[in-house]
Amino acid sequence: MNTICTLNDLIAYLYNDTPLLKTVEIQKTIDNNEEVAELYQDMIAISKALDELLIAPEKCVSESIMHYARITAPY
Amino acid sequence: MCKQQISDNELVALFIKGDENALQNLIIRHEKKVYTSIYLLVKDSDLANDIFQDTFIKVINTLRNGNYNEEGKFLSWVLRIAHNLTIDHFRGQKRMPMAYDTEEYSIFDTLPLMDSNIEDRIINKQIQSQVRQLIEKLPFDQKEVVIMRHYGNMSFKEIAEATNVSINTSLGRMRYAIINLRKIIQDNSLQLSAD
Repeated sequence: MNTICTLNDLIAYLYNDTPLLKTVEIQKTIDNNEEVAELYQDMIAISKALDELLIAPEKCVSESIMHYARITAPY
Repeated sequence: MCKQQISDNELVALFIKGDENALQNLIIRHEKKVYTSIYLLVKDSDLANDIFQDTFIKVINTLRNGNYNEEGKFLSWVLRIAHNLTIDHFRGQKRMPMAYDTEEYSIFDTLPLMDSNIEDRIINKQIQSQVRQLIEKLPFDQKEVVIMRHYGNMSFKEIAEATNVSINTSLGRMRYAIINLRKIIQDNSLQLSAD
């Protein structure tokens, strides 16, 4: 990997957590290094899959919470 | 006025003034992220539902007692409460829970799917199942960072503060998680994208 782009940098870049100058450096590295570009594409796919994995609680649990809110309302 | 367009902090303010619908909107808006973050750590749907309920009861009491002073994100705050309650559970148990879905039934079978096409649904279902299995293989500290970042929308600075480590350590844990997931995907010739 290019010396100006560590794996931690790439992770921070993936999650939009890098300062502007570093962002430009990392983007250049991705553009110019096939190995880094391939790794970054895999990271995007993994990140996207993680984002799409969402599970809902049982409906009765949310109803219980609302019931609690009503019976304990101080008004 | 459409409450979907109201910010979390505005809904919080409305709830504190006595508007219970505001609380309902907050729950509807964030329940999947909060529940998923709990479920992926405890791997037991009944226990996850219990911790989810305890989390929002604590949210209600804290808001009503005037102890909510978060200037930032409501969701991150709720996730921190959920995380602390989950850790409290583990401390009480003094071990990690060993609960798994049965072969006949998985909670992931109930996931709502966005695509109407049957083939897409099958592929999405396979991907979700694979991702769940991949996450379960990660060590706890890596799983924790993945959950906080993806479902809590927390920055690495916030994750570092919530888990009492440095920013570099939280970045490193995410790095190991992503690299580990990539390795497992490659070793098993898995294809994540449904495109």
